[in-house]
Amino acid sequence: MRTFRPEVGSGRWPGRISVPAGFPSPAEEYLEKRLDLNEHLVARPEATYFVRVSGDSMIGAGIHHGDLLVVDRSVDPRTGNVIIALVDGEFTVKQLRRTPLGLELAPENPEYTAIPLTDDTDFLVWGVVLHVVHKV
Amino acid sequence: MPKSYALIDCNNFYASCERAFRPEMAERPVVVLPNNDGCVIARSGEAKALGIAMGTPYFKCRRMLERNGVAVFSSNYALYGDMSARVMRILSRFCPEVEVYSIDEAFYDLTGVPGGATTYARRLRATVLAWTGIPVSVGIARTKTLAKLANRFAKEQARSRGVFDLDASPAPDRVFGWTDIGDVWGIGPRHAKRLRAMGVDNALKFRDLKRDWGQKKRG
Repeated sequence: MRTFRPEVGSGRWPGRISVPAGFPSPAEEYLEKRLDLNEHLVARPEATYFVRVSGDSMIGAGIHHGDLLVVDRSVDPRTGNVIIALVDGEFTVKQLRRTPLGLELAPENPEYTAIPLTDDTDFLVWGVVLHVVHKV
Repeated sequence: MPKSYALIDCNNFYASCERAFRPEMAERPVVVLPNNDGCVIARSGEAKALGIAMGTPYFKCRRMLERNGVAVFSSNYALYGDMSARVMRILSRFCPEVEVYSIDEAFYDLTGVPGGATTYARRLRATVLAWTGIPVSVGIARTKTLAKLANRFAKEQARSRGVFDLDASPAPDRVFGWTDIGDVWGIGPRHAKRLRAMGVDNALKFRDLKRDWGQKKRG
C-alpha cells in the first residue's frame, strides 16, 4: 500500500477568463470557480491522506487494485466503516464489523477470510476510508 | 494575569514523519540521511539511545546500523513540509495566534485558556498524534525562554507524558537544576564555557547568579 497526501491549502482555480468590453457574458460568474474535488472529498485537509490500494480483498465494496482511497484520520472508527488498519505490522483495508463473537476486520471478497480482533491481535486503526477514487 | 506561553515541538521530526507512514517501525530505531546519503541528519529516540551521533557520516556507521536493525531513510523534504503544514494547521485550530518558529516548532499564548493550560495542551497533543501520527512535546511557562526549558523537560522526562507546565510544578528549582547551562535558550557554546569555568553549570545556578553577574559586567 502506498500513501499519498493531498496538498494542504491547495485547490483554488487560479485563472479568470476576461471578457472584452461590451455586453458581459452571462456565464462569467460561473467561470470564477471550478469544481474542486478537494472540496468535495476532503473535509479536513490536515487529517486527510490519499492511499493507493493493492490487492482485491475489498472488491465487493467497490475498492479495486490501483484505486485511490481518501482516508481521514480525524474520524472515530465505528462498526460498518471501511478502515485502514495495521495488523501485525502490516497495513490492510477492511470493514470493521461486529459479530456475535466480537469485532472483526471483514473482507468484501469470498476468497478471503475475516480477521477476528481478540485481545491478542496486534491491531491499530490508522484511519477511516471516506471515499474511493476509481478509474473506470 | 501571568502569561502562559507554550512551546510545541515535534519529537525527532524527520524520523517521526517517516514513521507516520510506517507504523510497524514504531519501536524500531530510525535514522534519516540527506538526499546524497552523506551523514545522519535525524534520529529517532531509539537511534539516539544506540549512541548514533548527529552528523555521523553514513559510511562510518553503516555496519553498526545494519547490526542493530536500524531503518535508514533518505530525506524526503516534500513529505516533511507537508507534515509540518498539517501540524501547524491543527495547532491553529486550537489557538489562532500560532507563532511558527521553525519547521517543527511553534509558540502559543495559552494564557487563560478554558480548563487550564495543561489540560488544553494534552488535548492538543492527542489531536496532533491522532491526525498525523507525529508525537509532540509541549513546554509551558511564563516566558518563551522558560517554555523552551520546560519543553526539554517534557521531552526527556517520560513521567511528564509529553506536557510539562513549569509554573504548575511543585519543584521548579529541581527542573532548573536539571537543565544544563548549554541548553538554556540564548546561551551559546562560548557563553556556556565561560559560565562553566565560573562553576555555573546549570540553569538554577545561572538564575541565582544572574543579577549580580549582570551588574558586575556593566560596572
